This record gives sequence, C-alpha cells and structure tokens, in this order.
Amino acid sequence: VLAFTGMLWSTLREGTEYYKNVDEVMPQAQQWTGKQMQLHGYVVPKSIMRRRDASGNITLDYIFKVQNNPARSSEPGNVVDASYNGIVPDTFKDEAEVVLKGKLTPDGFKTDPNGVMAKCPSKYEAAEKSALAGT
Amino acid sequence: MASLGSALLLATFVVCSYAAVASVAGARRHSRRLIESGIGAFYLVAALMTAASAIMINAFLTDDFSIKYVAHYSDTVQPLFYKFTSYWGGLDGSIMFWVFLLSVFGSCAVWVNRERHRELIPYVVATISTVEMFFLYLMIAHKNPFTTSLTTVPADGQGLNPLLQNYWMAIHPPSLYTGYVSAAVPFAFACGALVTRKLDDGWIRTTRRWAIFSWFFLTLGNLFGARWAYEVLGWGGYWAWDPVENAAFMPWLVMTAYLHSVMIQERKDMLKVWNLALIGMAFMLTLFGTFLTRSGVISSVHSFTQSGLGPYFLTFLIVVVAAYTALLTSRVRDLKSPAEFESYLSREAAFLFNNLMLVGIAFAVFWGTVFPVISEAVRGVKITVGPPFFDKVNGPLALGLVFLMGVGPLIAWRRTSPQTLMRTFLAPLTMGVGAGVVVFAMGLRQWYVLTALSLAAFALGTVVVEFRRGVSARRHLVHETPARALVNLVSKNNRRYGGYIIHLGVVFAFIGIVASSFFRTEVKRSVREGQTFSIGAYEITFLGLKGVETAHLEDLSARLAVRSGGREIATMEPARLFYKRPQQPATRVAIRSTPLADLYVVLAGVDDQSGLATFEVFLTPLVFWLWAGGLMMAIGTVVVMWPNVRERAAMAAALGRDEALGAEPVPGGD
Repeated sequence: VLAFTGMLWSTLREGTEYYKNVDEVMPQAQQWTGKQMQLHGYVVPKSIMRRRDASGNITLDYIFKVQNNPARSSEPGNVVDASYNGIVPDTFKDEAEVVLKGKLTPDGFKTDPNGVMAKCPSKYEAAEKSALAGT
Repeated sequence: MASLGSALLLATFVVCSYAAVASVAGARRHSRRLIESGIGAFYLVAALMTAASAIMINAFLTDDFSIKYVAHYSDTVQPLFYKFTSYWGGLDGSIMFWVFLLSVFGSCAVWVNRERHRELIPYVVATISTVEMFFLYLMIAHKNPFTTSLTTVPADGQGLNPLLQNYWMAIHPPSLYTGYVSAAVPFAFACGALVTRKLDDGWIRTTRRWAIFSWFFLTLGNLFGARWAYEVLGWGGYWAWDPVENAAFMPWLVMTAYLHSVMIQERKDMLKVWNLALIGMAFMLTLFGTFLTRSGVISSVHSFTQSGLGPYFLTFLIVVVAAYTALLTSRVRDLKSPAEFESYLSREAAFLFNNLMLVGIAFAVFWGTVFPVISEAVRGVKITVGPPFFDKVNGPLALGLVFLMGVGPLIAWRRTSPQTLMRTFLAPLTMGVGAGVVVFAMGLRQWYVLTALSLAAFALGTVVVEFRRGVSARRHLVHETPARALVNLVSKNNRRYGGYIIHLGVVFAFIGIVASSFFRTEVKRSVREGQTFSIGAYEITFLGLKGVETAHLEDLSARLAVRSGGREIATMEPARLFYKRPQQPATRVAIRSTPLADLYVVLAGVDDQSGLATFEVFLTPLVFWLWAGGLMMAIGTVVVMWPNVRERAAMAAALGRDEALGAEPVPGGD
C-alpha cells in the first residue's frame, strides 16, 4: 500500500500541468515561459491564419491570437499569439472557447501536437465530448 | 401536456416520500398493511415515471417546441430515431431517465423478492425511494424537463448536437445508465441486510444477477462510449482518461472486484465487511459518475459548462457516504468471519490481490480525476492531470491483474504446495514464456509490451487448460464427442465457464489496448487529385471529391483508393459534414478494420483555392481485438446470467426454503 501511494504521488507530479487563463499568465509572461501548461481563452475573431509553403499551398501551420475574455465582451483582456501545427478540431474557429496544451515561448504560445481543445461559440451542451477530440 | 408532466413529477415525489416513510414505519411497527401500502406506492412510482416518460417522448415525436427541453435538443428535420433518443440527450432528461430506470428496476426487484425476503423488502423500498426522491427533487426544484417557454414558442428547435447524432451515442447513455442504476438494487439489499442484521450471504445470492446485470451494462456502456469516441471524434483513439470516461470506468472496476470477492464469501464465508463496502463504493461511484458528467464540477477543463447542480449532488453524496459508513460500522461486530486465510498460495489470496488491484486502479483513477478540484480548493492553483499519469499508474496494475487472471482459476482453494503449483501451471507458463520469446524474436523490445503479451498468453493458457480439462473429463466419463462435451460443459457450469469466456474477452481486449497504444502510426498529408501517399504497407490515392446536400446537412466526401502489395483492396470515403441546425461542422471517419490493423482516415480539410485536400491517416494494429474482446465479454456475461437449475438449488439451500425454486425473474432478481 505504501509503495502504491508513493508511486501515485510521484507519477502525479509528472502527470500534472498548470491550467491557466490568459490573464493569469501574460502579466508575468517571463515567469511562465517554458512551463508546460494548459491555457484557457477565446480565439480573437479573424485572427486565425495558415501559412503557405514555398509553392503557395496552404499548410497545417496555424497562427492565431487568444484573448482572456469571450469575444463579444466589452474588454478582451490580455491577448497572446499562439501557433499550432496539425489538424484542428471542427469546433476551432473565430470566437471559440479554447484550451491549448503547450508552452509559452518568447514568440508566443507554442501548442503541442493535438493540443487544441475547442468549444464552438454557440451554446450547445455536450461540447464536453468535442473537447475530447483534442486530447 | 407539459403541465401534466410537471404535475406527474410532483405527484411522483409525494408518492415516493410515502413509500419510504410507510415501509420503514411498517417494518418498525410490524404492520404488514403499512408495508404493503409502501410497496404499492413504490410500484406506483414506476407507473407514474413511465407515464411522464411517455409524455416526454411524445413531446419529442410531435415536435412540441413549447417545452424548452424539446426545443433545445430536437428540431423538425431531425430523423425520428434521434428524436426518440433526444429524451436522454441533455441534463434534465437524463435525470428523468435515471429515475424512470430506477423505479422500474426497483419495482422488478421488489416484486420478485417480496415473499422471499419479507424482512429486507421495506428497507429496500426505503433505500431506493430515497435515491429517487433526491433526483425527483432536483428535477422539480431546479431542472424540470417540462419547463415551457414563457414568451413565444419557437417555430423550430435547435437540434441535437451532431456529435451525438450517431447510433453509438444513441445506445451508449442508456447502457451506461442501466449499469449505473441497476447497481442500486444490490446496494439497497445490502442496506436492508445491514439494518435487519440478516448478514449471511442471502442478500448477495439474491442480487447476484442484478450485480452481473449492472456489470454487463457498465461493460457495454464503456465499450460503446469508446467505440463512439473512435468513430466520431476523429483523433484515432478511443480513450483519453477524460473525467467523463473515468466516471463510467470507476464503477465498472469496483463492480468487477465485487463480483469476484462475493465468490469468496459464498465459498468461505469470509470478506463480509469488504463485500458490503465494495457494493457501497460501487453505488456511490455511480452517483459520483452521474454527478461528474452532469454537474460541471470537473468541467473547468473538459466541458466548460456549469449547471449549478454540483452542490446538491455533493451534499447528497456526502450524506449517502456518511449514512452507509455509519450503518456498516455499527454492524461490524455482527460481521465477524470465523474463517481466516491459510496461505498466500491459495485462490482466496489470488482473489484478494485481484480485489486490491482493481480497487487500486479505481482509486488511482478517482484521485487523478478529482485532484484538479482538490488542488484548486486547497492550494488555489488550477492544474490538470493528463493521460500520462493514468497510463503510468494503471499500466503496471493492469499487468498484475492479467497475471492474477492466469493464476486464479487454476490455483486451489485454501492452500497449495509449490510442487502441485508447478505441475498445474506448467502448460500456461510455457505458453506465456513461449509467447514472450516469439515476440522478442519478432524484434519487439519494449519491456512493457513483452511482459504484457507474455502475461496475456499465460492467462489465455489457463483458460485453455481449464476448458481442455473439463472437456476431456466429460469425454471419458460420459463418452461425448469433443464438440458435444464442450457445449454441455459450458451449459452445465455456466457460471464458471461463462466467467472464463469473459476472461478470454478481457485478454483479447487487453492485447488490443496494448498494441494500439504502443504501435499506432500517423501520417498527415495534403494532396491533389490523383496524388498518392503511403502509410505502413498501404498506398492511398486521392481520387476526387463529391458533395451532397440534404435538408439536414451538407456532405463533402473524398474518394480514396487503397492499395496494398500492388492490389487495390478498398475504396474509402471519409467526409466532412456540415449540419444545418445547429450550424456545426463534423467529421465522418472512414475505417477499414481487419484483425491485423485498422486503417483510419480523416478528411481534415479542403482548400477551395488550391484544391488540396488534407488527410490524417492512422494505422492502428490489433485494435480490432479490443472490440472483439468486448463482444466476447458480453457473450460470456449472458452465459453467466443464464438460468441454471443447480444454482437455484444452492439458493434454496442457502435460504433454507423450497419456495426459492419458484419463478425465475428476467433479467435479475435471483
């Protein structure tokens, strides 16, 4: 039982990540840089862009901005640049509520592969399940 | 109709309160009439809930959008089938569905056992009624599914979330809820046994079939949920240790432990307290699971929504835990077991370790699930616990379980000498080691995979040895053909050999899980029409796009030719869907499943300008066996539940009466 508890405790330390809102992180960006975390926020409208490769084809390289408060609220709160390479969930679009897994770098928030969880802006329940798509 | 529905719920609450009070008062005063009237009220609850459910389903089928719940989860163009399943599509309806199931199951169990367990029944009625009252209170006071729009009635509904418009989703919640709710029956009998101090194994035998019934549906519920995630969510996996999944997994684990440990009580009259604790835990975890999926407490990360029911659930849960613990503690002296463990080399010990591991896994999952909440409450730091934690903790425990699954069935009760042990386990051990060597020779080097496959082969070997032993005994004793002997063996000892079939299923599912977790490969490609890319041994050519539009959705599908070894083996058509109401995109995955590997293709996007289509392709080996193993577990469970004459005789002996040979209930009761 002791060994089990010990194992539980030590693995728990490795397996956990901070869960932060944009406002909690950005004012002390330095302090959070390089730490693995999950970042909660909302996609800034019209900020999602995809890079083109040398021959002009669209790639899976996304850059977008995430703000602390919902898109239609009066104050956006802090805003952070984010990047991601890969397939995004269907619900990832302007105004979507997102949780990004990854690390803050000096160039913005770098999202892990499959690290985007998103909920579409309209209020539908069971989006909890769509959030799964990203994990 | 909506006001009738609300009135019905209110009436049900009143009737339910009466059932609880009358039956307990009747038992205290030894008033047969009072008890009977309590039981009558209890049946009436089931009738009222059936009527309320009928009204709700009727509202969905007739598009009665004046009811908010209907307007929220349905619309006019929704296919009939999904209109029906929308009943449990949302929070309010699923709570109502819960009560409906509980009232029906409770009534069945009481009806069947009303003569046989006269003393227990009033408390069974009271326990189940109390649980029903809690959910009815939630509905009446906070989440009335029959709430109507105060102002204008919408012309059309908002429609069910497209992710939920899937047949797995249609059957997954009812399976899981059936599993959850039916766990309340053994729990209620356990409470009855504790209160009345009738603490022999009567309550266990009586509710054995209910416990298996519950386990069966929990198994299916978990499998359907995993299958749904696999087919619908389009990330190539089936399990992510999401709190919602954990909520369904924990009761399954504890119920599995319970089903094993009751065998020791039946055989050896040991572990009485432990069994009572397990069934209590199983029931509380089903409450906790409902709480978790439906309250939004651990949603901060995963479901984002708050429903405001959290505090009520938590309070009720705490009350149940406290009350049950107090009841159990006050009876500990009556539960002293005369028998003791004799040796670690015994079946009892194997079962005990199996129990510890199952409960250990359940505890680890529980801890990982609630840790974020605790951390936030205690330290004010929001954190999340990811899959690595669950994998690391549960991986070794799963190995231990598979090992014990190989040991348990062959080892003798009470004690075994090392020599006998060696002789008994020679064949399975050879199989295990042999499998390990073969896999090693094939070039696999991950220690976990090697161990896992060896242990799986070992457990498989045990089952094979057991079957062979039984068949050859029959062939010698009654001179049957091997096939005939096999059929008779299983049907005459369905409890035992059904259990082995379940074990086989678990081993196959375990192999599928290990292989798919370690060897999944993934390719992402953007291609033009006519271009080809490859994954593993497969070459995939993008042939073109096709768009179809219906009243319900737009469907853009891609045609892909799949070639392997120079031969065309399949055409696959993954698609992107766009639902019109609610306006939402979705993915339709194309899967080509074979026993060796699943080819899983997602159409991630199409760029209108360049005509490039982006595909995400997963190649997952042996995942087929997860589903096949699950099916085998289900079949094995049906075999176990099949009525058996010998068992009824044992039951009658245990109860000391002949009446027990009476009517055989379906599905539970005996």
